Amino acid sequence: MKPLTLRRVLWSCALLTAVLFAIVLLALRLGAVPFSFADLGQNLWWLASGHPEKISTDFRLIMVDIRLPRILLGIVVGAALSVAGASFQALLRNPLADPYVLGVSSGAALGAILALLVAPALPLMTPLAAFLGAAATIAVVYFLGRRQGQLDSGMLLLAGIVTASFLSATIMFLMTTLASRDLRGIAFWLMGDLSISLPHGLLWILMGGFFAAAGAILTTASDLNVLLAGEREAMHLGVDVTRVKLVVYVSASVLTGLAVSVSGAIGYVGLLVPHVMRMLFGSDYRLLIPTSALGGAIAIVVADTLARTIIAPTELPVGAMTAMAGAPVFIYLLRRRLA
Amino acid sequence: MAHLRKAALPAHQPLSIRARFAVRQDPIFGAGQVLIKDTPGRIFLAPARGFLIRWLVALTMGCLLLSGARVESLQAMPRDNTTGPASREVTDETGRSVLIPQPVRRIVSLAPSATETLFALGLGDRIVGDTDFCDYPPEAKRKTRIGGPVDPNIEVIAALHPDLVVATPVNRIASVHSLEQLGIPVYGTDPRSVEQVLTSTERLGELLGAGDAGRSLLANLRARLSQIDRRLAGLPPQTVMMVVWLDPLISVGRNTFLEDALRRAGAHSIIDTQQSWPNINLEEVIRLQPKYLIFSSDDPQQVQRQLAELQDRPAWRQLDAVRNRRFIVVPEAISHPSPRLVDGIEQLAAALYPSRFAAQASFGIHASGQLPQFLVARLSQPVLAFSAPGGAP
Repeated sequence: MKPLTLRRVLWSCALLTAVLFAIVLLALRLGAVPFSFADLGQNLWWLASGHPEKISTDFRLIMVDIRLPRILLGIVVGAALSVAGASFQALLRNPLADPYVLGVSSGAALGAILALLVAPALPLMTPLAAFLGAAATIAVVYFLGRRQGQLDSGMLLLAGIVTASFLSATIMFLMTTLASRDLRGIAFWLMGDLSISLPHGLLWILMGGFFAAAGAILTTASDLNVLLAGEREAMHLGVDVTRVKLVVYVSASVLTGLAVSVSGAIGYVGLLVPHVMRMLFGSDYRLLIPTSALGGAIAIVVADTLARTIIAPTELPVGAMTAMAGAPVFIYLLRRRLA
Repeated sequence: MAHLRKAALPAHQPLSIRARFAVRQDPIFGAGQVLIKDTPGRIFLAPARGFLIRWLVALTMGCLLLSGARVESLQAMPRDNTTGPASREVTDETGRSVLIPQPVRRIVSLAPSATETLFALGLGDRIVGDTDFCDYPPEAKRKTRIGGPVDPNIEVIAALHPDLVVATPVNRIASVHSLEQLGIPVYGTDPRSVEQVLTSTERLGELLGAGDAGRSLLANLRARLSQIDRRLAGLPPQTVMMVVWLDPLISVGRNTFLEDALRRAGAHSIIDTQQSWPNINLEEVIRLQPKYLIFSSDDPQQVQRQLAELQDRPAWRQLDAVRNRRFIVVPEAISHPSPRLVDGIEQLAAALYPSRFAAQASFGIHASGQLPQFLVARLSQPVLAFSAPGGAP
């Protein structure tokens, strides 16, 4: 195994950032309303060089107000979900763990449904209530998942799965019993949906939350490497296991909650991307956390661009695209590594 | 602070867990700032991490601030697509306040019923975009498609520069919010009875500068409805179940325009619930035994296959209506809250009470011996009978 050097971390991240940048440019270009690369470059230059008054109305309306915020949202959501997935895989020491395994998405969905029932006319109510629902779920699962005063991976997993199925059942109950007219969006929400325009302020809050939580996880990255060998081993090696687990649990849950509250439960990204990054760049968490963030962003932007353009103007749910495009890549990498 | 023990570093095993954890024991962000080298040029990440994190945070903060400033300055600029000086503030049927520019020249419709209503008001040429499912009248198919009613493509709508978007209850509130955020006014309709479909149509006509067309349309529709009322006067209503969806079985609840339409056609829905589109237990239907099952479809072949299959299901054979093939198929017009709803009501009434409508030539009903009341109504021929699958069609 090659030693992990700062240079390798920076080169890997630079490579992924370059890929992400190229894909963002492509994603900006493609869409139901076509723009040429020349147009795109010209207008982006005006935007970047401080001459926004020269930008055409159509470009401003479609690029700046619709497409760019949507791509930025996709980047943050993808990065958050992948980092959360990688963290849960280490925390639960289970390769099948994904951001939703502990019920955060179900709690957020329940919050969103209640918001739609109580105050459907307030646009900001849904993400706020979804985040509160996620936070409440995080707290409940935390208290259920403790054994002898500290988080226990097995208890946490069982408590999370039971809470998730209880909340999903509650959602189904609400959806069938209540007057269904206002709940039409929830089906989309459960599949994951990036098409909703959010106020720009919310995007900045989301980014701040992402960097705070992902940074906290990054500080525990070397502890997570050891934790994967086993809790007792990690403890003997001087890792403060209780603190690491608490930091990772709260941060990863907050990341999931943030992502789910604005975009619904986009599947598979949080499960697949960390595994793909392990195959490509190795399983050291100090490298895995930043590469997962960038890889998740790439995955979501690609999936959302496909979802937007394959049968435009009709849009596919982005959650379906992540699985359809992600599963073959994953299987290919897995087989290649085994060969 | 950090406890550094240089002695613990083995030279040839730079990634040894033991070595690294001897080096750092310090919690979040407070790692020692000493770079530890094993072989020349190779640096451990753990101590450098503090630097790396600060660098990343500073970089992102910078980017955020810069891009934030750009977007803010861009948004502060006046838009030329927002409502001009001549606009009118109204409250739409969902209680939202909407600023409608006057006159409205470019309209996007977010649902087939809205498209039909606009065409009925004579405003078809002002529609610049409609949904994938808008197929009536045929001109509606030639408009720019903006996606489905539940998942409209906001980009395409914005590129059409509409003065007004007309939404209905089939749309999601999230789509409405997205459009509002772009400064595009959205007028929402929400009719819950046949009467409200009529008044909603008239009000829309008045708001869009087609008040006269709206009033004459309304008078025509009211006359047709009262004629149905006269023909059905004194008759007890027939018990029916409207099958909105077969698997799972979904029917229609009280307080919906569709239930009201059934009532006006002389039908009494056996389903009594406050939910708009309730899932129904078949046992309950068997207990209540509706006289007719009503389907709505514009595709006779598909519905014929469905009905033939239904008759082979043991549970459904417990229904008198299935055993005696008392199915009524009405055009999908009846499930759209638009002026076409009245067509659907007329055809359903004619199918339920053939004797009262026999005088009307266009409603001729041909019932074969095997399939006494299996009627499929189409747009071109108001009511069309199919013969049994066994006997030649």
